[in-house]
Amino acid sequence: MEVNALVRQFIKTELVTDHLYSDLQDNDPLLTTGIIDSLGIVKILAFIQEQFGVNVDDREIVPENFETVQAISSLIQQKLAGKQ
Amino acid sequence: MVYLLQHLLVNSARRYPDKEAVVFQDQQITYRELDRVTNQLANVLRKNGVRRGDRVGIYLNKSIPAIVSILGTLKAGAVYVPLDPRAPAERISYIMENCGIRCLLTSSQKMSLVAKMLSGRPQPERIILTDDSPLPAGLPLENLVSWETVQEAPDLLEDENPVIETDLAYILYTSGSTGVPKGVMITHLNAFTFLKWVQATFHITPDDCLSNHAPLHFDLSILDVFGALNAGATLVLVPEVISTFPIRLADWIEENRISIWYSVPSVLTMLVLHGELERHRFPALRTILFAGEVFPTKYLRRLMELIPQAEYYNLYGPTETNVITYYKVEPIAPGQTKPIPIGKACSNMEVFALTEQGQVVSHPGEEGELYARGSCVAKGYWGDPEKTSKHFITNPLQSNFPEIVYRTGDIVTLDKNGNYIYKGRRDHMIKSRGYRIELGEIETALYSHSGVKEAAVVAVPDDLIGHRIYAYIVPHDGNQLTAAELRLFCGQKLPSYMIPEKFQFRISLPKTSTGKIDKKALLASV
Repeated sequence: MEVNALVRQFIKTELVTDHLYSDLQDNDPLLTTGIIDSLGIVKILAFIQEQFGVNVDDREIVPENFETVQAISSLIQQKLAGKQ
Repeated sequence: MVYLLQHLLVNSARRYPDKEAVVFQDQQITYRELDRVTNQLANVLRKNGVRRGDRVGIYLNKSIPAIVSILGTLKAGAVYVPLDPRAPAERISYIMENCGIRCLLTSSQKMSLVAKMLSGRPQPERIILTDDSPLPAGLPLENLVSWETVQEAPDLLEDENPVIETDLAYILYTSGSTGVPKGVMITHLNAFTFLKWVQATFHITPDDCLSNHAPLHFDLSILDVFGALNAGATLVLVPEVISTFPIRLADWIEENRISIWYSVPSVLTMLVLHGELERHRFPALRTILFAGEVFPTKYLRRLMELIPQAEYYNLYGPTETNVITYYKVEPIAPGQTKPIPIGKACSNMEVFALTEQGQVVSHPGEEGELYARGSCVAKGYWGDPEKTSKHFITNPLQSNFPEIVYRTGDIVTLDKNGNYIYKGRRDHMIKSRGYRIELGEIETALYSHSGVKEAAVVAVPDDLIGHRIYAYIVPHDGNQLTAAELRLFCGQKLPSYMIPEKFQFRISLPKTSTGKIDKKALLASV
């Protein structure tokens, strides 16, 4: 599965707690909606580590990298490219 | 005379009219302006029939209007009920119905949600909007009062309200073991008893900037909001998105020159681990307060190394009393892992612990349940005399006059210096990220799903957040339940911090010899 799909799937099954957002799209806001809050950020960091084997640096844990599925996927792809 | 919470604002507005009272992102409000607009709101509330003791719901995201709403409600002589803006509609409607909200303060942006929430339920007599943004189309509008009406109202309080200090000031809802939240009734006197101790201990001045990290429905916010108003200091509200990102939060604390920080320990732990604190100096930060759960000693020690100039205090107390004991943290030896004490009673409050045999705990090593005595003790749970009488009991230690003490349910011991040490709970309440959670409330929510045959929820101790919540489910035969489905289902009933992190499906659950679900065995299998 491509990165976007994996991230979207994870957020949909592990973080979304409101039916309002069960049809989550790649550019839907994750922060203003509270889908990712201080509880969610810890979960998603662990997921990125386990699923893709990349560590997100402290400096990369900023709103710009987590505001949409697209932003998170770009961060992961960038980190994966850097690893090779 | 100063004896009601709103007097703190009136006094500071007289002394420091041009000082910033509240700051949120790029907005601020001075003491003069805050005093004026809360008078206007109070006048509008009174005009719309709100009287002493009436409950006014506040359904707003953290913002300056939310603070205005709290103080306007108090000035009207009413009781404020802060509603978690992130809680599911079902929970909010329950709370509104439970305490009989007469009037609701909310924002234009939340109106669609409010309309949905209230459909088919008893309506508040009035809904007052705290902003003038356009409303979503197609809403029933007959009981709406616009922000414009508030702005046009007289800015002097029109009638002195007859409230006294033993009247209720606010009701805070916390998790309830029988499946629904319970409302803790707090009087002005309760809060004042706490705030007097706050001022005497932390010497807050008009030069201080206090952070407000905790949500307004969480009792930590009382210290921030009223501690700041009391001293003429500035209250700076932490934007929610900032508090999700440790580096941004560290920058924010420094940029906003926060001098007194108060939060649950897990936020500070996140800052230690991911906030790159060594890049900051935090020159203004003089006092760091934490409460709500045990601060892992190794992270606290690290924090004290990274911000050495600050004083650190561990505060302890349930919503039913607010803070009742405190401990000023002394330097922690490298390698120390045992938790720091919760300390000794705050001034003008008494605490004691009783063993199972009813003996007062007086020696190190003895264990007992902690009780609180004094005017900090709340009035009980709204509309629930039965639950109230279980926890708010006649003082077993003296019979000269009738007196109620609060049974915390917390088991403590003493150290050799007379400090109390927290050991655990007598029941199934747990803490996760400082939130108080009754596992029974989660189980009740799960059992209400038609596909669930058996459910057990356990709390797995965790260094970072206190506890992680796992649910074990036995589905009814032939039912294809998934974790995502149950998570969504819980999302309709529980706030997000109560939703289990993991859902595990089993064919059966381990049982004890008496046929109860064996939670110890479940915990051991994690």
